[in-house]
Amino acid sequence: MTAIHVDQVSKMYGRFTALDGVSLKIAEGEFAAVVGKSGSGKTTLLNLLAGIDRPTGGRVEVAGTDLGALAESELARWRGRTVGLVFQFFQLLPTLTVAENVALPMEFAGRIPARERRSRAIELLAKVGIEDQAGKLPGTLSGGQQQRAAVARALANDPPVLLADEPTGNLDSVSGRAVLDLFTRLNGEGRTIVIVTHEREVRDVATRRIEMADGQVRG
Amino acid sequence: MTRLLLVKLARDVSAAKGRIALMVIVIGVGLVAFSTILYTRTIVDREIGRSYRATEPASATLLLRDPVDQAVLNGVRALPGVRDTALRAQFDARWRGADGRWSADPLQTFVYAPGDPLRVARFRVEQGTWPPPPGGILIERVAMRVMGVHVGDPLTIREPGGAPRTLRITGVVHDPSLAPADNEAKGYGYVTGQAFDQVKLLVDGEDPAMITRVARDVGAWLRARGLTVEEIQVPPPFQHPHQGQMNAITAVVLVFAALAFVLSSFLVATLLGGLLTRHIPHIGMLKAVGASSRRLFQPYLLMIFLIGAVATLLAFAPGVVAARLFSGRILDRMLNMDLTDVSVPAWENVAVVAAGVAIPVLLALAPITRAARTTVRQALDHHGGADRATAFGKGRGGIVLMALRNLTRRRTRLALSAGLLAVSGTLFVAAMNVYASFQGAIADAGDQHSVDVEVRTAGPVTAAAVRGVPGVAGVEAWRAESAAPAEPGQISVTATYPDQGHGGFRLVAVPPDTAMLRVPLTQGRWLRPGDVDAAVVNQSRQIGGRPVRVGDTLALSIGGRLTSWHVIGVEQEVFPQGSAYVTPEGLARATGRPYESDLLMVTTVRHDPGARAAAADAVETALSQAGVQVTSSTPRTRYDQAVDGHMYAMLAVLLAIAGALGLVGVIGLAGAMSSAVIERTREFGILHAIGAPAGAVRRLVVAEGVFTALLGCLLAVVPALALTAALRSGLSRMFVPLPFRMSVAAMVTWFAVVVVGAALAVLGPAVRASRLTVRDALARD
Repeated sequence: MTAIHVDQVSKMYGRFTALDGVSLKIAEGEFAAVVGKSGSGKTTLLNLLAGIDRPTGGRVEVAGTDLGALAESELARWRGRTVGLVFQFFQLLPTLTVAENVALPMEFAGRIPARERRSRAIELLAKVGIEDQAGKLPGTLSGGQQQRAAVARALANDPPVLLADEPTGNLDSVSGRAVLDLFTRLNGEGRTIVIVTHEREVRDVATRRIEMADGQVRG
Repeated sequence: MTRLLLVKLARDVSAAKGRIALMVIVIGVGLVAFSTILYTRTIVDREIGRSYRATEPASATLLLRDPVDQAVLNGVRALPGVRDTALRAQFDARWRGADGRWSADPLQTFVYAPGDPLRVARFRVEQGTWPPPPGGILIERVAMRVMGVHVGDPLTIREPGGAPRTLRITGVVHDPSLAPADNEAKGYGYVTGQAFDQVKLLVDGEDPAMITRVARDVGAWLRARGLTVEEIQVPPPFQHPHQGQMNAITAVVLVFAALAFVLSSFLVATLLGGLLTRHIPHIGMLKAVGASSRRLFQPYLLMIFLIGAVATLLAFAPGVVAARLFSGRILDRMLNMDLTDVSVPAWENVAVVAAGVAIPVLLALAPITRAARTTVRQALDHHGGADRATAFGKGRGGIVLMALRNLTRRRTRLALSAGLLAVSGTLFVAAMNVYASFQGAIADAGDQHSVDVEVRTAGPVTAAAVRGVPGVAGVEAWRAESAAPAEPGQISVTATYPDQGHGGFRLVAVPPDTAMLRVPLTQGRWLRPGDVDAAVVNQSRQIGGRPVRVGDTLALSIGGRLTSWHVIGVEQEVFPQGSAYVTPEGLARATGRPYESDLLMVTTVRHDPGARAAAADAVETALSQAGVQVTSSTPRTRYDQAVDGHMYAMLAVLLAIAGALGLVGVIGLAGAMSSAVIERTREFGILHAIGAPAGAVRRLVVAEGVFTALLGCLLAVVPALALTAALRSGLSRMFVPLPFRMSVAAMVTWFAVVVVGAALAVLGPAVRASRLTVRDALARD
């Protein structure tokens, strides 16, 4: 089954072409690493998959949903339920505790009953190995711990697709390795994972490598 | 709203408590100003009416040529429409106290029958007893202060044409039906007597037409008994003589207070906008994990609602207390009234609470909506950076050019900050211009009447009598007669108040070549020798419900004699006293008597208060030696003080509000610059990283603040002119014609305050920016 289908997608920023007729399919359960030089269009591609950006032309379908058919508010709701996002700079809310950050997407999606959210957040934190940090504010955690918390948050609503933009780019090698192990485990559970990266280690653990250059998929 | 968003909101508020506290203070201060004036207006308006009504002011006063007795009064009381009656008399006396000097101010003395039950035009005895013992006089409480006398003091008074007689002050009365003695520069005395030439009527109802009809019927009844009624006075029913003035003052102040509140709410919306800018990354992240715009709208709306609610809660009591203090002061200082009831209608409380909560929310809707609609992509791209790139000053270096470029990069913020300062500046300068207009009006009034001492005499007097008196530079002999609009066969009816000043009308005979009257003509021409039936009338006069025009015929009763005048000119005096100017020969023809002056207008060599007072004494001495009795000798200084008394409260309040507006503007700039520094933390870090010293970063931020201030000043110029013109126009219609004045001092003050204030206000953020380490700045997410 196809988890992600990108069909003849282009994206222009003014006169600059960030993506030029990109087409690709990613099957359910694949662990894809999108690689390429800076400016090759890989982050743009990830933003289109997450519904953060809209293509100038073409069609993007993720987990069976045509993203072009969704309004901005519907996209937000879809994102909360269907994809988990992990960013290079973690993007945790500094005024909520780690556990609260993880529980937040559950509140927006409303799938998990309110009384179970806290315990599920703790479970997810345990899964990424930082349950002892649950009550702390993100600012007091190390970079690796924050990124693990961000991964736990991405798993909050048990999304079938995880999208990560340079998830190890801001971490030391030990922390980066631990985060990659985590993604490998999650992929082992059957989740589709797409990671945009420069890192060689990521390429090594991914099951598929998508090479981009000048806004096009080269391999 | 989700529980965690509420938790986030609470912690965001806690994290930004300084800024939130500033917002609460700003709204609170604005609301205190607004509610104070709103409540004050209500309280003062009600208390004026209540105090004035409590004196049972006469609906009408009939002035008779000869005294009447109690039997006549009993007959009047039985006439239809008459509820009650009283016999009274009054005169303006000279007076002298224990120091033996005749006072410049007259003592307006009201005469009552010993057995008068005081049901009509009553007063309250505060000290002593009524009626006073034989030889006693009671003085109005404010007049006691003005005259500098005390209970028990001897007081020598001299009626016009009469001999001095010495009374003793045996008590103090409070008479709130009269304009305060200090405003009018006169004293008020209360005595008993035996001869009365005034019949006062209380009429059921408040319709002036009906009161006039009843009074005319009474007049006809008196005429039928051989009595001559010279004039019927029907002042506006139950309206204190200063009611209109107070309405104008409180209306203007209320407008400014409301604007100040809106400005403060606008400032809060700006501060909130800054806060929201910091939250954009959070908003993006929340959207990335599934939050919709509507969801994110809610906590920020709740935040501003709570800020407004807390500010309202904190401001409510101070507003109430300030209104009580302020209205008490206005009533005491401007109206000589006691504050007895401080309640306000419930709807005003509701309006204040609603305004405190709703207006900040309404003004914040736009920035909140904008922030909540931020897309994930916009949030990811947000680094607190430029709104738009600019080529301004491209290729040039230096802090100044860099600051200018930074300003034009952030056009939205620049527009908000400079706009806020411009609105503050507009209101400040307009308030100060109105202040200047009032001062200009006072100065113009002085220029229009270049008289230093006004001397009234009991008998005929000529200018020659005081020529050569030391200190006197010039003198003209005038005559003033009370007059009233007249209709053939009808008794004249005027709107004159019992003080015989407010609402009254005078016919003033002046030499056509007078050098002491320079009133601007709006129509026609000034008097010429030989004009025997010509009159120059103030434009505020009306005939048949419309303003007078050149060519109109003015029918006036002078002492019961019907006279007719052609209006040849219309003039515009600043503080018109209801006058028409005619030539001496014209007055002689109209009255059928040879012209005799009883008013000397004196200019002095020097115009300081001391010189005027000395000249007044010298003139009086000279006239006494010539056998002419002086009834009053008033230096110009007293007139100026009286005008100041009328203006005092308004000018003080305008100044206070203008100051508050300036403060709000500078606080706004400080808040905006603080936001800008926080947003640009990363940028300052980069500046440090490439070698910019702390001083350079500090100067850059200060320069941006100063340039914003300068732009705010520039933007305020045209709106300030427009608002000044609009206010001047409105006040001129409601109050007195005001000259258009631009207060250069106000503009310079505003410029200096804003520029220096801006530099000081941004110094804190600038220092913070200069102390940021490269690591701190670049680590900021």
